[in-house]
Amino acid sequence: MKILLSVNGKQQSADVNAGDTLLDALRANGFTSVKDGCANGDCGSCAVLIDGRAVASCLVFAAQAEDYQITTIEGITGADQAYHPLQRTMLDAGGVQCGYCIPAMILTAADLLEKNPNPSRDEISTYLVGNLCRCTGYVKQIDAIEMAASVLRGEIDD
Amino acid sequence: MSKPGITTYLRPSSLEEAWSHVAPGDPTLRLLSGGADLTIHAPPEIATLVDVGRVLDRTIVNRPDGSIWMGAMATLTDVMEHPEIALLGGGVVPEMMVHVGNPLLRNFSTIGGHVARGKLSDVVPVLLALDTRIEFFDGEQQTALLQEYYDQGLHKLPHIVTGLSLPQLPERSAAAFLRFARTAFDFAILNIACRVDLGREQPDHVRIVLGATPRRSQRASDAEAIIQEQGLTSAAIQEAAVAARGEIWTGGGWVASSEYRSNLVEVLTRRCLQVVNERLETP
Repeated sequence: MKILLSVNGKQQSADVNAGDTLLDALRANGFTSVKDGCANGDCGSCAVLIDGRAVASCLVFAAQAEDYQITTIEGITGADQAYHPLQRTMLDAGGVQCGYCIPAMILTAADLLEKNPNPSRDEISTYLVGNLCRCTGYVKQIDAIEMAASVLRGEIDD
Repeated sequence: MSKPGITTYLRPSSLEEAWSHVAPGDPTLRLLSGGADLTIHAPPEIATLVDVGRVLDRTIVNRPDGSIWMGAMATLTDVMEHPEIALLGGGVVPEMMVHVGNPLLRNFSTIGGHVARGKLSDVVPVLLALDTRIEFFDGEQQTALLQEYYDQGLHKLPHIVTGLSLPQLPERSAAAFLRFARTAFDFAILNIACRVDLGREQPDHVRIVLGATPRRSQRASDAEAIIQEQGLTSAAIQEAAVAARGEIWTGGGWVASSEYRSNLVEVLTRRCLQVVNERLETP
């Protein structure tokens, strides 16, 4: 069946099966930053923003997504390809090791900072509970999100 | 992961059209609202999905009678973050909801879909303790207490959940939720929601609901009667906990034995009532 997905502000047609998930559809259409980790709602590597809220794309059928705005990591980069503050601070703080979980983790953090611009470390940790990382101990990533929050509040330069 | 057994995806544009698909009771057809359950646990016989996302409401509104109405498509996050729902019974809804999966699930899972599923739920005991009403469509718009919806088997008949209504609680009311699980991520081995409304001297309304037994939630009526008659004294709380253990059926399995769950019934009932008592004593 043909569906119309709106990804990163652009509408595109996708040919999907009735039982395909949004994860399947995005990866089949080139959005390989959306990682197929567990496909079971456990690891969070497939998270995207759906109307601004972080959602595991493996828990959504592709056809359901027709009515929503989907954002992948490519969609939060500035128009001039400049890094989003979360991308920059994730690198600066040493939060990236193998990198597999990072796109989803940044999108989840973007969702958090949108509704809570000044989260505590506990609040960051709690909101990331569905994003698993097997390389790090999360400390550097929480550092990075705290730094990005400061940048977005205008307290420190990017 | 794609579900190859699902071959048809229907997207009705009206409640009546959705009902025309559901009414015959086709066992190969399933309603789809959030989808978290069906993407992972779709039974093998399911071949058709009926997406009700364009048919049902997502809003949460205050009604003139003081109740709070939640459209079936409201996400668990919508419910958790609603400022007035957050105040009910001393904050029992967000206290519970934070244990349901994680934000990546709560941001798209719907309250209507969750209640229609009803099993392995931390949400249902709390909704039952709050005397939540359910609204559903079975050719006509119907309403029932959520307790009746489950007890009378209405949830097993063809229907479409359209909304839920949380009644206004009296000023001197407190509720609490506790769960016991092997890990924070795991389904509860046992959970409990308690609520007590205080009259002038004694409790005039008590709810003690145990879930994950592992059947659907059960009310501990004997324990409720003890608290209603004797109040929230230490002795009454202990007596109620023992009574709950005696009246609540618990099943065993690879996660926990029946005896283990039964012991947990007593412990969690006591602790939950103690939390409610503390909240009622806190100005």
